[in-house]
Amino acid sequence: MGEEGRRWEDLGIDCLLNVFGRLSLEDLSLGAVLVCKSWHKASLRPECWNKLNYREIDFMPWNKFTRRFMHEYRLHRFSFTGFMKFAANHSQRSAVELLFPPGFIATLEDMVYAANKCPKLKILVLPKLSSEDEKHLPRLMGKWKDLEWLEVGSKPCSFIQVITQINLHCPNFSGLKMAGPICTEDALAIVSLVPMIRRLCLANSYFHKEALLMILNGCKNLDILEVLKCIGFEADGEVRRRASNIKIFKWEGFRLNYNDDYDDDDCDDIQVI
Amino acid sequence: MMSLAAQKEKKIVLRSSDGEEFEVEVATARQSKMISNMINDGCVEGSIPLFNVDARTLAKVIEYCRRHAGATRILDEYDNPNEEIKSWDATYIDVHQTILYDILQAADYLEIKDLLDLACEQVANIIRGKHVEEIRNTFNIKNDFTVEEEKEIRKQHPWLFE
Repeated sequence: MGEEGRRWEDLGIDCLLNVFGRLSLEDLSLGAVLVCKSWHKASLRPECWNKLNYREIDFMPWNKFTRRFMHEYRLHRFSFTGFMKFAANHSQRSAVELLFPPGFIATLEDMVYAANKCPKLKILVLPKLSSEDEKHLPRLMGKWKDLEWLEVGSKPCSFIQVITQINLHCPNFSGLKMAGPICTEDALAIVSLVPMIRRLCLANSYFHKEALLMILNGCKNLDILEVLKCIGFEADGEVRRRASNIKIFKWEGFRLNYNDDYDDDDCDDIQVI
Repeated sequence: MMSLAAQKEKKIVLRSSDGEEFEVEVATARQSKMISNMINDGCVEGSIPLFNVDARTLAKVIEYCRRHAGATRILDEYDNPNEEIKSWDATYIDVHQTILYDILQAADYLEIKDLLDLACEQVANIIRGKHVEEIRNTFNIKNDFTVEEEKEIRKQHPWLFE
C-alpha cells in the first residue's frame, strides 16, 4: 500500500500537539519547528513548550546542540540565557516545569526572567546561584504560587527565607529535594512552614539525628523520605520506628562521620542530579 | 450497568469503511469512548458503521482494545502501568509509519486515549534526534516554506543572543 492519503503535514492539531508536547526542547527547536508550515504553526502553540527542561541539553559552545542551533537559526553567537529566553517566550507564560541544567551557574537576571515568564510553574529545579544572588531567591519564590516541587543542588544560604515564602505563597507545595548541611533550624523551618510536605529528598546531606527526628515527628504526611548517603546520623531502631509510617524510607549508605574515602570537606559542593 | 462477565459474553459488530464486519466483545468495544457512548445511548442495534477506519486498521485497533480490555492494569508504586503491558504495547506499535498513521487517525476518531498516546509517543520517538531534512524524508513531507518565510522563521531570534 502506498502513502496516498497519509499526509503527516495534515495531521490534526490535537495529534500534533500531543506529539510535540513529548519532544525535548532540542528536538522541538531544531526539528519539528522547521519541517513545514503546518508543523511550524502547531509548534507555536504554548502547549508544546510547557515543560522547559534544559537539563538534558549540553550547552557547551563546542557541542553539537550549540553548533546546530547557531546553524539553523543563523546566529553568530550563542548563550544559555538566549536559549532559555527563546524557549520561555514560546511557552507564553504557560510553562509548568522549569529545569535548569545541573551545575549551571545562572545569573539573577536569568532567574528574574524565568519568574516573570513562567508564573504557572509546578516543578522547579533551580540552577546554581552565587551566594549574593541566592539572597534574592525568597523574593522570587512568591511569584510561583502553583509550585509543588522544588529541587536545588545545594542548600541556598537563604533557605529558611525561601521556605517562609513558600509557606506564604504556595499552598500546593508538596516536595523538596536538596543537599547540604541540614541543621536543626532548617529542620524546624521544614516542620513548621511546610508540615504537609509529602516527599522529601535530602540525599547526600549532612545532618544530625536530632534534625531527622524533628522531621519525622513534624511532617506527618510524608510518603517518601530519602536520606541516602547522608552523614552525621545513625538510622538506629528509634529512627526506623519513627519512620515506619512512611511508605518509602530510603536511608542506606549513611555514615556517622566523614571518613577517608570521602574527599570533600564541604557538603555544599555535593551535586544531586 | 451489566456486570463485567456479562459484558464479555455480549458481542457487537463493527463494520469497517470497506465493508468488513468484526464481531467484538462489549468490553473490548468499550475501550473506544465513542463506541462506549453509543452503547450507553442504546444505538448499537445491528452493526456500527465506522466510515473512517478500513478493515486492516480496524483489525489492528481491535487487537489493542482486546488486549487492554483483558488486562488487569496493575499499577506499580509510581502509578505506571505494569511491565508486561508496556512491553506488549512497545511490540504492538513498532509498525511501518503508514500503519502508524492509520492507527493514530483511528484512535483519534474512535477516542481511544491510551492508544492515541501510544501512537503519538511512537511518532515522537521517530522524530527524536533527527535533523529537519531527515524528518521530512521519513514522513514524506514537502518543505512548503517560501524562501522568505524560512528566512523569517530562522532569523527572528538573534536579539535574544545579543
